Amino acid sequence: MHRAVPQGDQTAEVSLERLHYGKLASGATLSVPAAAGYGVTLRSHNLQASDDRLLSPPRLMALRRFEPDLVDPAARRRGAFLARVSPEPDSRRAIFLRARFRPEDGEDGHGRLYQQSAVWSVAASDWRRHPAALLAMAGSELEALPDLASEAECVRFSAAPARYVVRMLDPQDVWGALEDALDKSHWAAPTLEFLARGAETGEDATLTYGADDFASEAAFLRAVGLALQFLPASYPRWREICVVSGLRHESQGLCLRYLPSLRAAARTSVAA
Amino acid sequence: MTERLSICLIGPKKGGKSSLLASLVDCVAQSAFGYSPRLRPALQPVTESEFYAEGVEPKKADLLMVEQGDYERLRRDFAEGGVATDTLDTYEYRFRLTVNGEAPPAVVLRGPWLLEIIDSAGEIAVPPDGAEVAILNDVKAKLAKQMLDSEAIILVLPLVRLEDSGWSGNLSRLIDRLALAPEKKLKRLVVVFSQYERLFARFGPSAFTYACDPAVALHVLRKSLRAVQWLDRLRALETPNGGVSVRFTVCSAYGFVKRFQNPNIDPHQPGERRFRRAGLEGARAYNEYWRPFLTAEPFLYAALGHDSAFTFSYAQLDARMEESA
Repeated sequence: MHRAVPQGDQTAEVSLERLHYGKLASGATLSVPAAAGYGVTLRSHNLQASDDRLLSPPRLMALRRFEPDLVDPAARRRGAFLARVSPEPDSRRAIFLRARFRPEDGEDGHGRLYQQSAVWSVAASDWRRHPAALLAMAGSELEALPDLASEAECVRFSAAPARYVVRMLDPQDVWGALEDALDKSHWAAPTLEFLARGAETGEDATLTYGADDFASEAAFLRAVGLALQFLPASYPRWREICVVSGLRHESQGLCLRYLPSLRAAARTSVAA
Repeated sequence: MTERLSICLIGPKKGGKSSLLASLVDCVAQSAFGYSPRLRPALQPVTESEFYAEGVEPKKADLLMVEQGDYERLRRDFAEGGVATDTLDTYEYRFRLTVNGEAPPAVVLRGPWLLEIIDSAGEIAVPPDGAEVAILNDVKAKLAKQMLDSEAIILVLPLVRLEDSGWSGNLSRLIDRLALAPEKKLKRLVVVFSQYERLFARFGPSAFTYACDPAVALHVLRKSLRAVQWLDRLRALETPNGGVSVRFTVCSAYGFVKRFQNPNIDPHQPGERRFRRAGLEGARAYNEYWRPFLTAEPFLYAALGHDSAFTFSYAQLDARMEESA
């Protein structure tokens, strides 16, 4: 998989390792065959079996168990999204997660639900350098779709990492876009204040946006990406930043969250 | 005196383990079991801290609290069609069981009981035969330890042709290993066949009458177990050296419709859904018609060691039909 961003003077290549957890599916509606059970169904070849535990969805979401009622009702079809530095100490990777519950009898079915998730893993340094591009890509292309039962296991477990070419953003352009947002939108100032206050206090906090603030997850990720791209290299809590969409659970650290079914958005809540 | 017990639920995937557990409290509350109504058991979900607290008393302070714990979530998922238990962990649910009525002194004097019931995905303990299922090693190790540490195991099997099932080889191996494990604390093992209501789908309003006859259940168990390879392996657990009481029973989480008595699967709804009152949401929509059937049986036997009209021993299964008649 190799995608390119067409415009721009300077570019960089980002390599994304992939891991899928869920069940294999078949047919036009991707229903789960009776014999198919839960498991890791795809792992790109640079990941090890020992990474399965580190990249399990509940661990990444800091949950004991991922449950259907934790997914915002308006996000149930695509699932919840999360981007953060992987939680193990001194981790050098950042992860992007899309996780949802889908019916075993196919996409529009009425059967029992099961958990399906997809994880991208990138170098934490790439996440630090290209948050806007990575959030935009992950938001649009990371889908929790089941792998096909017809696809050979050796193929699924030796999948090549996805490679993307991203444009290096000029800091002046970032500031220009952010200045516009400060003038014309109501998300830019609270987001920057939230990040600045988080750096000062060192406390865990969550800033939640709702449908009144952003029309879609893509718009939210675009905005947050711009704000994170603006952060200086010396920002002290970069590793604790967590970008979440559609998940009704407050993560630890500095959490920027979007709940598409939330109307009167509770702007900030400080968690212990 | 309070007795703490661990009970492990195991069985192949989609066998009905989580549904059995989700309907347990309602089954006890509705007395939809084969024990004497004078037994009057009561079951209450408790938190982990209450489970481990010394001298646990009923939750006085929480008298007016609405239950929001993991068990309530499991019940809600069951009401909405069910969620396949994932393989990323094993999940513990805790209860306080009391027997408030007549029971043999050997039973009553041991109570109340604090039960820890462990639910897990079927793929972990009984994966499909021949399938390479990638399960996290620490989850496998955790479940294995929980099984060895449990005083009781409930083996939940769907009521299918067992000889054609895709998991009987792995189930046999599991039973063998369990029988050979010297460190196990197992005292009771209950084999429960779920989805019992499906046998009576064509019986209409007579379904419940037939299902309520223990002789019918015994006949069904004999027929289902006739060609099963692992039956004798399981018997090894019960030998004088094995020291485990093995029982067989049937159950149905969907049960039979109140008043109408037919199996509780609504043919007019997509998927497998129970009958419900239109215009209501969540569990409330089902309550008017839902009566689970014998889903308390395996848990009460596992905890109390006390037989009901629907728990059958090897001796009962082995007895000739005319003798049991």
